[in-house]
Amino acid sequence: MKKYLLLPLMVACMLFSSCSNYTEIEDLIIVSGAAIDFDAQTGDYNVTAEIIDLQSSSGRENSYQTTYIESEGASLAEAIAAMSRIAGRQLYWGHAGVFILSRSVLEHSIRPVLDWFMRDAAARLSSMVVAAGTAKASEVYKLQSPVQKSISMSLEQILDNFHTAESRTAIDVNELINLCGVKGCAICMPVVNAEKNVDTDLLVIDSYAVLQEDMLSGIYTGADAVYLMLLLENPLQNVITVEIPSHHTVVRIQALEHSVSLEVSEQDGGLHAAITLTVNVSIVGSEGEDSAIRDREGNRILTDAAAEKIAAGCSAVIERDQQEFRADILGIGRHISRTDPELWRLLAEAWDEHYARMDWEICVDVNIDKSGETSPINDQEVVS
Amino acid sequence: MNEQPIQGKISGVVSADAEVLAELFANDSTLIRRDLFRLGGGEPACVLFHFDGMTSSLLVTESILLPLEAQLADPQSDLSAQSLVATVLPSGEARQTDSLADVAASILNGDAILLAAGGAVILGAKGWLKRTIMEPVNEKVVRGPRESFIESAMVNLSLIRRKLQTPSLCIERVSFGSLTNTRTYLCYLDGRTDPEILQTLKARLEKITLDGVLDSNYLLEQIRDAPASPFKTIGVTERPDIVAAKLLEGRIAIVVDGTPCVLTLPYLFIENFQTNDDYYTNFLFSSINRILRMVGFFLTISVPSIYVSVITHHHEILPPALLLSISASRQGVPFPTVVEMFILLIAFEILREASMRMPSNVGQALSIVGALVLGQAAVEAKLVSAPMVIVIALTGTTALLTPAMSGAEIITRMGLLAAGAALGIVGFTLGFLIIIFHLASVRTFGIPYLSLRSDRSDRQKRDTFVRARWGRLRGRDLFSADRTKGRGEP
Repeated sequence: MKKYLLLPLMVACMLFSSCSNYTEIEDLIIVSGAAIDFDAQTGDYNVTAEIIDLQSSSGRENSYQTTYIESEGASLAEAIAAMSRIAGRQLYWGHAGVFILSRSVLEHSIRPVLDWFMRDAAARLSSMVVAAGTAKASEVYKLQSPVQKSISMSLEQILDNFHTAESRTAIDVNELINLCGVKGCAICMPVVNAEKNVDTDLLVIDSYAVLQEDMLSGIYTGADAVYLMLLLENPLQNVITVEIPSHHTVVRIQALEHSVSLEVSEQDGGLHAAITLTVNVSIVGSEGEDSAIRDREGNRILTDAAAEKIAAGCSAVIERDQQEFRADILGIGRHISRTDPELWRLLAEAWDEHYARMDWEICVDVNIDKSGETSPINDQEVVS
Repeated sequence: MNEQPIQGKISGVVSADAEVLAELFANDSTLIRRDLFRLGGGEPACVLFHFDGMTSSLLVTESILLPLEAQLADPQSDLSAQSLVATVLPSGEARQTDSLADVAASILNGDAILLAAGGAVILGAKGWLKRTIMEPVNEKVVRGPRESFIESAMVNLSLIRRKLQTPSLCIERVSFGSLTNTRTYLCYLDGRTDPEILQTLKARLEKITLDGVLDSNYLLEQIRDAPASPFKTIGVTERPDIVAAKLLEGRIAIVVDGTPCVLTLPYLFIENFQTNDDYYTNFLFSSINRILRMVGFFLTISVPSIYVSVITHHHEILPPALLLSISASRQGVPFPTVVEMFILLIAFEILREASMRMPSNVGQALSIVGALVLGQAAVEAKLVSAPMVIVIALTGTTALLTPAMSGAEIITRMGLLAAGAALGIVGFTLGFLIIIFHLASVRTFGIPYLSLRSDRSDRQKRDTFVRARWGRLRGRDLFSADRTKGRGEP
């Protein structure tokens, strides 16, 4: 290579690389997460950013202290820009792991929030998004976590467990953008609630918000949330109580690995979905005369009862979604678009109506993987 | 100071020649002159000259004086130079000359000069003290020979000759330095070495004009390709086994009197990562070591630059936990990251240089001071951050894998650091490319510097990045005279 060509090449790299943003790492104001509220009356966004306070941290991961900056603006971008004025310098959003959206944001629309993510160069599309079960999203930062001082880091750790290749019970901004405005698959967003634990309000994720396109359709709580997690293949091992009246026994089973398969077909001029849920369970406790269920025949009775219980629970979830939310939480529309694009082209326009009228059946297959005990346990007599 | 070349002839008249020689070395009080007379006196029949400390007293006495004594006692004996050489003097090295320059060069080289009727006789009587052959200081091996070259070229050549016992070993003598007259020997195997490379070398050597050559590096810098490049294009070694191995590969060795460092050429870039240890240990283990050296070279020049560029330009690359950890550790450090890096690198180089110059009895104390000062105290005083000390330690440790490239590593490391600090990863990449371009543009005696020792890809694989076992190392090198032959073939 001619040596005299080297100098222009170096100058070109210096001028065109846009790599001149030299910033010392200790000068960064590192945002670990943010809570976004929306005031429906004024139309303003209120943003609370959780900032890692490195000055008073010892350097160990679970000892990072946090401070908060709050600001508001007519749009999310304006609110965040106002934050820079308050802090005195640019905030570093590159490692913001979790964004908490209030119910008001979800009921209004999540598109303005997604708009900021797509416009801002620092924001990561891999940031996780959760909904706030508290009155305001910023109130989540008043809760405690037994693991980390930083609420955002705690949530990130919890959501990391949910976010697997099969599961749809944790969602990041990239998936949110893909699903928003797309028919055929609802967005299921974890909801952060407060739970009293030893005189402390701890944060916990025990319910799910369902969004149809960009707006909130409804929230699943309690038992519904458990069965929803099964249907969405969340790896969390929930405990389900199964009653066997014929044997005066109540057995508690814990769902281990489980998988969902979907088959959609046209029958009698309408759609029919066959949902198969396969669950491996372990027995974690029982009440009453459980000796009868310890033999082979008893195991069969238990698995049948468990399958019936789970099927009933899942059916209630799907029914509610079909009739009330019309949000297609199982992604049946997306399944059709992948397996039969021609059919989907016909259904897409009025998918909500087709989904509401769709026939479906659920088949649950329960396998007892670990029975736990080698001898019968009688916790207490069943009160009939 | 008279630097004119010595001219003149030996007249054959003993007294006159003796005066000429005495006048030539009039200011040297170590010159010993011994006039030898026949019985009856008169003019000296012979005059013996030699330098005190350069000749062996035993040799002078037994090989020169004792035989002469018998001749001197006989008034009929023939004491001409020719007769003395042919029949009288039992010295293994004896020759007649009439050149004053030859006489002067020989006496300065430690020979004894006997002026006799008809000419001068040069007698081999060298006896100056030499260092014993010891283990190499800079090229230690775990397994293998432990001989090292010394300052005497003759001893060095003997070490080479013991390993290459073949008439094909050619040794050509050249002298350099008008005042030092340093004897230099070109060694090569006839039939293995490319004649073009040899001719090129000789042409370059002929252009050298120096008044003194005290070390092989005086020649090296004047005959090497790319003299401004920090990467060496001529090898330097103090081990006879390495020289023998390189001669077998078709290279040329230059042995310079007065220095234990022998030059070998041509020298390729890949040779910086090859040691003789690789051929004395198991091929799998030596292959791993070779790869470690290459990785170590890359790390030692790149780690400082990559670290600085990532934490000043590309924070997004870092995992969150690492970002927070580094940021927390840098709280309160007064210097910018790049300045901190430069300071620590310079301090490390100062320690390294000082450890080479200092007396050995203070070495341990300096090591402790260096570790404590650079490590513990500086971090606790918040002058530097802990991750920076780790980076410097990694840089310094990996540099030890290739000590022969230390000069090039220091320069390229600083250059890449400046580029990385200015432009981030783009700057580092640009700097690295410049290094690659430079290496690709260099040739060593006509051979591309980045060549992999052979122009056949199958042979390249066997002894470059890894070493195949001995049964499969058959190919000849790129600069051998006949590359179609295998290594075992004559």
